[in-house]
Amino acid sequence: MAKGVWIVAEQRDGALRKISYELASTARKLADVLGEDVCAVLCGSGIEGIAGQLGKYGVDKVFVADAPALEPYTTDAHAAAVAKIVKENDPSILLLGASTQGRDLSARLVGKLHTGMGTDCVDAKIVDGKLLLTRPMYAGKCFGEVAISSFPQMATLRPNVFPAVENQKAGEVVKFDPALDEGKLRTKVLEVQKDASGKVDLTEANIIVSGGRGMKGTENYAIIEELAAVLGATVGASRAAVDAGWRPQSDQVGQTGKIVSPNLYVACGISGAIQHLAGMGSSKVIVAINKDAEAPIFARADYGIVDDLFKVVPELTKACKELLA
Amino acid sequence: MLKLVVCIKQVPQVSELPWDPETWHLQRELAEGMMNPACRFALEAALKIRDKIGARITAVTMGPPSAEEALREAVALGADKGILLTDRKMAGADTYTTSLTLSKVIQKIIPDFDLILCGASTIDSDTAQVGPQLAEELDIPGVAYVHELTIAGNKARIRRVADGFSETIEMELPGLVTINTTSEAPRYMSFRGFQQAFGESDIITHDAASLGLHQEWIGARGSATKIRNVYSPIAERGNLVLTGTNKKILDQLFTLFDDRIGGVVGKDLKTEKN
Repeated sequence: MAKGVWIVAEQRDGALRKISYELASTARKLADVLGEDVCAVLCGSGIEGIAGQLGKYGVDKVFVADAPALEPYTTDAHAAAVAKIVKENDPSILLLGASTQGRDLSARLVGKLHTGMGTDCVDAKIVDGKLLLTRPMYAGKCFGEVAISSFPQMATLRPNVFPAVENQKAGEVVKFDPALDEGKLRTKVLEVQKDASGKVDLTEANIIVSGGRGMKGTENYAIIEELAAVLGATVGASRAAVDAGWRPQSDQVGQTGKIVSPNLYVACGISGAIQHLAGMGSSKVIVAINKDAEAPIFARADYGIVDDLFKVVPELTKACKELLA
Repeated sequence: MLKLVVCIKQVPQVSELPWDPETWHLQRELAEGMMNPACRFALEAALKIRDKIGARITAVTMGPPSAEEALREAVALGADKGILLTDRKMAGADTYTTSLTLSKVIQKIIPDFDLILCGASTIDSDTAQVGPQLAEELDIPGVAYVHELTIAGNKARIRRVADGFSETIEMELPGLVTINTTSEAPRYMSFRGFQQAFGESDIITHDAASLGLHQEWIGARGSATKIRNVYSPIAERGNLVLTGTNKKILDQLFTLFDDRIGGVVGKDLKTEKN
C-alpha cells in the first residue's frame, strides 16, 4: 500500500529555495496526522551537501540524485529521475511547489505516474485519511476543494502561503542513481541569464510594493523604489504598467505574470483588474492607495487610502524611515 | 512543409462571471466565451513561424459544441484547419484526461507534426498542466513558459523566463512549447480571414467513438482529480478605508499594521508621538 508523504525539493545554484522548506513543513504536518514518514527528493549537480538542511524542517529522509545532467534543470532529466525514485517507493502523497519549475515538472510526473493532482493549492489537510486540497479557481473568484482518487495524491503548493516551521528530524541523506538515458534528454540549456539586480524574487518576497497605471510613467517609479528600499520590499507592477513599457515583464504581478503571496502587499495606483487580483489575492495584508474610490482594488484590500499616491507614498516612505531608523 | 498544431481553449470571460446569489455557485453558462489569451499568443507564435519559413497550422480544441467559435476565430486569424473534440462523455475531464484525449486526436490526424504550441495557462482553471502533460503522453520534449522561439532544421531555439532568470534552450523536434502572454499584442483578424472562417472553413469534429476512446479513459469517469466543493471567498478582507489628514492616515495604518502583522518589517511600528 502507498505510504509516506514525499516532496520534490527545489534548489537553484546550489541553494535550497524557500519553497522547499514550505513543502517540508507542510509534508511534516500531513505525515504526523497519518503517522507516516516525510521523504524528499533533491536533484542537481554538486548538491549533496545541502540535502541535510531539509531535516531541520521535518524531513526524515532525503533521496539525492547528483549528476551533471541534472544541472541546470531540464524537464526531461528531472522528470525521469524523480519518477524513478517515486515509483520504487510508492508514496501516498507527493508535493511540489507551484513555481515555474514545479508546475512543469509536476505535469510530467502526473503522466508518468498516471495519477491526479491539485494545482497551485493554498490549503492542504488530511480528511478521513485522504488528502484534501483547496485551490483558487476562476482568477480567485472562488475556491475549489480537490481530492485525488489515485496514488500518489499529488499537489503543487503556492509559494509563500504555507509556513516554513523548524522541526528537526533525522534528515538522513541517501544517494540514488537517476539512471538517465542520454538519448532521452532532448532539451539542452545553452545559456542562463541571471537577474543581476540581486532583488528578492517576487514569489518569495516578504513585502511587495507595486505600481500600476496610476504611476503615469517610468520616471515616477522612483517613489515606489524608495518606499521598497526602506521596507526591504521587492518592486512589482501591474500588467498596465508592463504593457506601457514602464517596468520589465519580470516585475509583473498577476495571473499572466507572477502569482505572489507576501506578508504585505502595497498596491499604488492599481485599479485591481481581476487578473491582477488573481495574482496577489492570497497576500496576507493588502494596502491599496488609489485616488479613485470606486477602484475594485479597495474591495479586496484590508486597508484603503483614497488619495493621490504622489502625495501619500512619499509621506509613507518618510514615516517608515523614521520608524525603522 | 513544417506542420504546427496549436491547442486552444475557449474560456468564460472570468471578469464577467456572475454568482448565483442563492447557491453561491458560479454561473459559467452565463458568461460570454472567448479564446483563452495565452492560446491566442500560442497561435500568434505559430503564425509568426509560418510567416517566416512557411508552415501548415492545425488548431485543436476540446469543449462543448460552442467551442467551435474559438476554432473559427483561429481560422480567421490564419490557421489552415480546425479540429473540434466534443462529446458529453468528455465533460468533467481533469488535466491528465484532457491531455490524453488531445494526444489521441493528434496521433490520429496529424501524427507527423513538428511542433505543438499551447498557451502557458488558462484564465479559468489556471493549472498550466495540459501542455506539459500532452508532451508526456506523446513522449516528446517540451519547454514551458516560452517567450520567443525560432525554428532551424529539426531544432527549436527557445527563450523562456522563469523565476528570477531567463534562459536559452535548444529543443529537438518534434516537440511542444507552452507560450506565455507578452506585452506584444497578437494580430487582429483580417476581413478576408473573417470571411474564410465563417464560410466554408475546414473544421472537422470528432467524438469519443470516432477516436476509439474508452469511456473509462475520458471525462469525469477517467479523471482521478475530483473537485468536491466550490465556494466563494466571502468577506475575507476588512476593506477598511482610512480617512483624515495624511498624518492621521499613516498613524492609523501603522497602528493597524502592528496589530495585524507586527513582524513583517521586523519592528514595532506603533507611532506613539500623538
